Amino acid sequence: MRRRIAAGIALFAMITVACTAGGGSSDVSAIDTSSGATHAPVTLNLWSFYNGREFQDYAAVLADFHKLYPWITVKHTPGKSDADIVRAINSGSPPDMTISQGPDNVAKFCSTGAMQDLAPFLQGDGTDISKVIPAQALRYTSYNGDQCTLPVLSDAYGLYYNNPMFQKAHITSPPKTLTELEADAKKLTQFNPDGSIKVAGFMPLHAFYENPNFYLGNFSGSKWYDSNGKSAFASDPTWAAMLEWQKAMIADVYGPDGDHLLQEFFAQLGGANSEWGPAQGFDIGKVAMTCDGEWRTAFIKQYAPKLDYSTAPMPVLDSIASTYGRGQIGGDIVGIPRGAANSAAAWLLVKYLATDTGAELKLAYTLGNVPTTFEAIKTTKQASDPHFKPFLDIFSNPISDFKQLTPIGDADQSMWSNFVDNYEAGKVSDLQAGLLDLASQIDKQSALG
Amino acid sequence: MATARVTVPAARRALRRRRSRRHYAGVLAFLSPWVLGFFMFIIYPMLASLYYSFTHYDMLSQPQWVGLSNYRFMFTSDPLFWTSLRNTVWIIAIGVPVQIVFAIAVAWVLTLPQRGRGFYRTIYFVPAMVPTVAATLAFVFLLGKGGPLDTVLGFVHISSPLWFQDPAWSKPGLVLLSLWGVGETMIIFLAALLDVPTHLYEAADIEGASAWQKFRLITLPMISPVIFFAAVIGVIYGFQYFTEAYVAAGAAGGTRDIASNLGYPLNSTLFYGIYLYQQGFAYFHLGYASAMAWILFLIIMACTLVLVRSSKHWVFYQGGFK
Repeated sequence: MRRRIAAGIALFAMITVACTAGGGSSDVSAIDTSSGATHAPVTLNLWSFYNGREFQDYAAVLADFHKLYPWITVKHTPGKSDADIVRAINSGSPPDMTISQGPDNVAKFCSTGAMQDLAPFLQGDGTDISKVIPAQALRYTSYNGDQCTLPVLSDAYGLYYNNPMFQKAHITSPPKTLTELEADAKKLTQFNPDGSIKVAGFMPLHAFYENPNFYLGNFSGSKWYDSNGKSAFASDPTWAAMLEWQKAMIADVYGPDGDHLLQEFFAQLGGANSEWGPAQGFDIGKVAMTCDGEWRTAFIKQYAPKLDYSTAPMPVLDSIASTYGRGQIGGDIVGIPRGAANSAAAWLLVKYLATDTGAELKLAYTLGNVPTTFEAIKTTKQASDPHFKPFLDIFSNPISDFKQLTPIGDADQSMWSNFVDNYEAGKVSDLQAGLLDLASQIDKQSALG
Repeated sequence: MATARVTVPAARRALRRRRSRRHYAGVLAFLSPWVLGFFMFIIYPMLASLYYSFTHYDMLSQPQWVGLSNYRFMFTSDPLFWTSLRNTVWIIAIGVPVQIVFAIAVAWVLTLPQRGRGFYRTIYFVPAMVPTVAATLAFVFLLGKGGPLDTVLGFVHISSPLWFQDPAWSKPGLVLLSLWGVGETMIIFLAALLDVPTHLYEAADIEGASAWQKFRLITLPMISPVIFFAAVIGVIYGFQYFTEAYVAAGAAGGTRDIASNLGYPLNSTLFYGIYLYQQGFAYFHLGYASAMAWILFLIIMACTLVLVRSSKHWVFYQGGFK
């Protein structure tokens, strides 16, 4: 009986292991794309996170690709998350190519081989990718030297400021350091007779619109992990400096009850959801300065075309003032999953979307994002838009970055966000001890595999 | 002769065995779709998740056996596990009793009208037919700043709370939402209330019992099996609470990626199911998520057993069934 049970368990374990992490082969042999070559028809399965208008916008670029490679038809499936992609890879029947929203899982994709290393494809084509795509974009699409994905368009975060309010407050140039940001915010903030906020000079709350990007460490020059791969929240003093600045700024500009006033003000604006509609705080003149992505320029054109505003890089922590101009970046990533049925044809589409200037620009114009190749950045007509130009510069800054990638994905970011929210709510009495605990938690989560 | 005496019963036995085998084969053939489905979609996934709970598994590489490491981490090193458990116990301890009391109250009110009964019953049941996601989104709007409730309160100079943006109010907001959709439970209570024999009330009236005494001594015992049913289902559902919290946090948190708002605000809506999902399908810690799932299974089983055991002290069955 015991033997039977043991045999049953062994068989079950074998079946379980056999049913997990399905393998697959990759075909890196180059396709002859010369005009005289003949090809069997191929249907490429492309999964992307896109939905709605953005999904439709992609159709035009995919039609151009089909004209270029008439034997390849692209079947584009919208609304696919990274979890969907992982499940498909696990099941052994992945799509031929994927587009993910952001680089959060690049380290996991690369380190597990879930996305194929693109180096053999690049070598086969004789492409030196470092001459096509800036290093800062290659950083967030690779892990430990494994370039398993490539960037297609990026976001860049900068400062939006209201020109008439600046003039009224006699501010002649945008702030470059956090001390200047605080001083300008104080001049720009207005209160109602009942003490509530009428106009916020700058909303420092972590949860406000795109502010999580402001606190991701780029503007304070902070490191996420030390050289041993351990969380650096406690060992890198700039994390604490950023939060201490925030606390002092709220007290200085909004008074001792500032956090509550800001929460009320944010709720009056319509809360977080107001970001995507006509009542966005900056667009309606209720917030004088705000941290936002390059896409806000398109929203302002749509919802507040008469708004007089300018854009600039975000101010940085005073101790790294010399690096002003840097910024938080990061965008969509394309890759070829392990086990894809048509890897060679998929590579043609990956290469087209990530390196073709025409495709990059077409997507950048329709989606309103920053193109990610040297050539596209140089030739884009977005450069002639004074509102958009600073975002091209921020992206081109060599120390602009996403964040250090690890196989933990965005769990560390999520835990950091929780910590900042708790800190703002006054639930962290000892900042350094709290950061130490946070670092320990992240290290333990990393160990979960 | 002796051989014949042995052979005849043996032949009969063989015939019976053949008939019996044919009978069971027929039964099995009819049962096989269910049996296959049960083993493929219930037993195998359960055993697989039990195996994964002792591994580090990210769905992209082979599981690595780590023994009890996931369970140790859960109980000794993961504060969010306890946060999620606390939130879940809160929604069960507050939400389930409030829902039951509210459902009984509404059902009782619906027994009163002499005219238009069908109309009122339909009106009160309709919210239960609204899809959960739509109802939750509507509530986030209704209770939000600048929403209808805030506007009405503004007329009388009352400042409404921030509901789904304030960690102190997010769970009460979800309880309100659950009360709005209490129609299914209410219908069962309505049937139970209408099923209470009227002669019991008539006898109580003759004895001079007050309304409260009639409710406590007649109505409550008579509908206690339905209260028991609602409590068991409510507790099981409460431990698996997910959709409302997921949608409300996503809508109130407002970022483009709804999954990044799990638990918003300040982890006050991080329920057990939400955290399990986050570990499994946002962080791809499938081993740890499996361990959490098994602990949840054991907790639900324990709570259900406690409720079933306790029922003999407070549930009254007409006809004496236990």
